[in-house]
Amino acid sequence: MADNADHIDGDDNEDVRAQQNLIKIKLKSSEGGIYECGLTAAKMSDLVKNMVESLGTDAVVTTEPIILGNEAVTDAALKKIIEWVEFHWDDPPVDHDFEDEKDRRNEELSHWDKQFIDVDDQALLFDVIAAANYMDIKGLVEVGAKHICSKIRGKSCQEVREMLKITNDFTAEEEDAIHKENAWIYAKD
Amino acid sequence: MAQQMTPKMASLETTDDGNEDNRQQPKIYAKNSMDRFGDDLYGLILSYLSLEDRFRCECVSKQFQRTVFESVVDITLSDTFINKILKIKGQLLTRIVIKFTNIKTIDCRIISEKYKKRVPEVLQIFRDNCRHLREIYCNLRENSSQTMSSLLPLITRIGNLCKEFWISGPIINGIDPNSESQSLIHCHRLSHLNINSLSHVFHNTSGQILVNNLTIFELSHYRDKDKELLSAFVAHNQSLKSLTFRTSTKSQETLNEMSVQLSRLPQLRDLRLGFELYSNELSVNETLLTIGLNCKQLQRLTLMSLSCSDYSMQLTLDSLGSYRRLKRLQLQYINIDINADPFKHCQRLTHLELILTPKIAKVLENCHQNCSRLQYLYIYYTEDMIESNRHTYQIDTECLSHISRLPALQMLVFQCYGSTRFNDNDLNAVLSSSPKLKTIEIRLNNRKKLFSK
Repeated sequence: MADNADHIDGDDNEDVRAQQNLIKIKLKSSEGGIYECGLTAAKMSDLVKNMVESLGTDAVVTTEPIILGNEAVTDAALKKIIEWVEFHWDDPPVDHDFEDEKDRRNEELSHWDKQFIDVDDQALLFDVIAAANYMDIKGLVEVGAKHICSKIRGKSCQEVREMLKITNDFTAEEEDAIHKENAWIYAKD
Repeated sequence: MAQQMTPKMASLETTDDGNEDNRQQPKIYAKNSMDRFGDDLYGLILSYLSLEDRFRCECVSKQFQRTVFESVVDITLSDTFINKILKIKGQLLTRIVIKFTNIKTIDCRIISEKYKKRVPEVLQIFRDNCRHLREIYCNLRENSSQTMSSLLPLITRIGNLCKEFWISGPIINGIDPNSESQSLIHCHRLSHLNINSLSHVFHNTSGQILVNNLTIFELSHYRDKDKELLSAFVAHNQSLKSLTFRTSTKSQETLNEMSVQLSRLPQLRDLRLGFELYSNELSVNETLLTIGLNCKQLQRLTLMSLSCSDYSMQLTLDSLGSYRRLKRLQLQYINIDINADPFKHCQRLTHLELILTPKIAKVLENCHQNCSRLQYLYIYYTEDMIESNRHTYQIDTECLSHISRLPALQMLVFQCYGSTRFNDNDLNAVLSSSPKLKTIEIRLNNRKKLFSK
């Protein structure tokens, strides 16, 4: 049958993806720790995905771990990242016919993501974001970015500097001038 | 403090952008300092800030300043923002607008009556100073053809398109009833449109159609007399992918004719239909069958009964058998015929939303066999119902046990007003017995409560 519904759109892919995630590959952090991760989950990283595709799945599964050399990929960060991709690999795929980039950007984080990214250790949080950026996991970078922006919301410059440990490299005069220029934003009706 | 930790050091370098102030910085940053990030990642992170936050925090640091506006690609103008920006005098306003160097899209569709007259002048300032500006989302007002003449070719979206499907159309009209139709003909690149009446897209004297090749269209009221307009509209907009239609009718002929017209849209992927039927004799089953047989790309379908006072729109879901690619289904105020194993034709569904569906336990009974791909289930119900029917809307433990057998379910949402007939333990039991369920969200009287594994 030409129009057999079971073969439309290849959404039997879901089963293939589930099967592939049973295959475990090894990822090595910059500190030397080696961690297992499902193949489909690991391929949420475009960096890993490209490596797997150039080496071939069989090679990746049987040989040495994939080395993630960037300093941000610490053991702790890599463990967090694996936790995230293992939770999200079976998310419904983004449908570009319907979902607007803009809508997605404005969407609030899910409850799970909020809890996941709300870590007390800011060095670890920044490692996770930088590592996700290096590994090219766009969804996770977005989670980190939204989290930081939600913490900046409504805060003064000084509060933001203290929270994110940002060095103020403006002179007092420069800072004052910018403040004056932006004074309109505080205007009441 | 003695307890203070020495920050761990990292030697991550910022990208050298040739900025002198930057070069003098030491290249070692504390790991818990945002200074460690290069400009690209820094800007990407800040791209989720609101406009207010961007201006307020501009002087946090030089890196913050040079990345915080670069990442702004689209902005949505609100009443408060327009009010504030219009109080700025002269040169300063230009200096502020120039900061948005990379802006591509401006959305001002949510501006209310009070400020709508000021929209053209604000847009003109952006137009004159932001050379990447490509798209404007904007409503058409009286005199738009004069006040906005140079901006009209940039307009790609008119009228707010709601993600939710409400009984009535949006509060802010996409096109003012007394705006001239000439404006519309100059919006060559229009792709999204939301209007109240089909007559708004036809020239008021010549009757010529003014919009072509739309992608997304929403119409608040389709009437019996709009038959010929619809035929012309469909002929000029074969590219439609998403369509929202609310129709009130007394005649079966209108329904049939409408389905014939909609069947001529081969690209249609998303269809939302609201019916207000003035007679119990009318049936939409045939209408749905015709559309399903012809619009083979349809993946999302929403059906709503608009005469919701008696919730009487009976529907067998048999006609859904013709929707071969249907993945998402939403039913609002629809009385599903439970005798015919309602979801037997819905094997491909991934998302199901049931809003005020009577006899919910019966409806869900065989769902786990029929909807083996279902990932998302949303159920809305309320206790505030006709007394005799009340129990049939309620989610009880029987319902929960049907739901926990859904093999692919990841997310379950209940929205409810009144009280629930299950407790936290019942929900935890669903979580532990359901194979793939990750999250249950309960929105009880507008308070959110979450359960996850």
